Amino acid sequence: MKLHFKYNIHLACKVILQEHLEKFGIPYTDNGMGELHIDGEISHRQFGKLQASIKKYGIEIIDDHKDTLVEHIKEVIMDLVYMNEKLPDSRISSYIAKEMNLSYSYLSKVFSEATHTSIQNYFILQKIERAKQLIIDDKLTFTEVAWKMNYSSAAHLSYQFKKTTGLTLTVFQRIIEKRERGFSGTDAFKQE
Amino acid sequence: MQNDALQILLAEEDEHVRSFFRKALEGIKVRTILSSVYDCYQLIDYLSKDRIKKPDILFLKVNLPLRGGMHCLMKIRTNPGLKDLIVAIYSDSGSDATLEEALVKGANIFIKKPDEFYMLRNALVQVINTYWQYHTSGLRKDNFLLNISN
Repeated sequence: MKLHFKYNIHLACKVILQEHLEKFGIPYTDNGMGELHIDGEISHRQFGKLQASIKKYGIEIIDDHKDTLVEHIKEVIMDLVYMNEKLPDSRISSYIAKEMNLSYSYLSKVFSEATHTSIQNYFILQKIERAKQLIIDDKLTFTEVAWKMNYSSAAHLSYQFKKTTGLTLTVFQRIIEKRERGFSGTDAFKQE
Repeated sequence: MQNDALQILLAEEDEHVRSFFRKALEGIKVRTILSSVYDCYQLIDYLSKDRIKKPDILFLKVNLPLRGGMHCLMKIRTNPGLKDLIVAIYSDSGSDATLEEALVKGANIFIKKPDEFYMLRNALVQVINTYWQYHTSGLRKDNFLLNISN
């Protein structure tokens, strides 16, 4: 048996879009000609989910979607780096691809074009920033920081810290301590 | 995205070094606008004026004429209006004592100024790219410490 179909591609896409917008609870008005007006703001997360779920139908969001995607990638990285528990073992590439349901090579390309850095380097920079805060604010030891940020050892953390900042952990800590003392009026800020 | 050019201020009296910086900045991807001052008093004067576009990064020579870079640094860091200014201090010698003094006094970046053009360009790229991440991701600028002296 053979069946013959006639389909209206515009209607099909429109229905798919409508269904997905409703599924994610995004209020909208259809302006026609492939343009939608979103009533109010939608979060980067909602945007990312919508984008991922319509991609399999060959529907892409154009305009400034790349900026939004970059912001979403940054949010995923921040949520990961600032989680309370120990960081997971998974590689950043597979973690992000899974969280965002898009291929890593695509995400990585968009990210690098927009930010002057790679996802990998951005992740390292954020981890080092978190490590600084754990050392300064939470007074954790280097070994404790290494464990929490899932480095194999304090030496490995120290190596990546030096590579990123040009400073050793010890020198960094000493500078911050001297600054704190300096601001309360000791030798570091003495007038000439 | 922020598409505005980065405002760079250079405090350096030597015309050769200034043109060295200018050429290096021209060759990098991020768009920058470079202004220069020649001594400590000019620098303090420049920074004290109200401007629509305040400098984002200051490249400051350790041996700046009249009062020296460290003195200017101290003036900058005791002025709450300049707390967001990223200061990159540079010197021909990269001694550990100078590095530490500069960072303790509130510089964000220490650069041992290279003689080779391509190395200076690499250093500037590193400074600007790192700055960019701090700027666009709202990271804490008081924790922005970078040493480029290899």
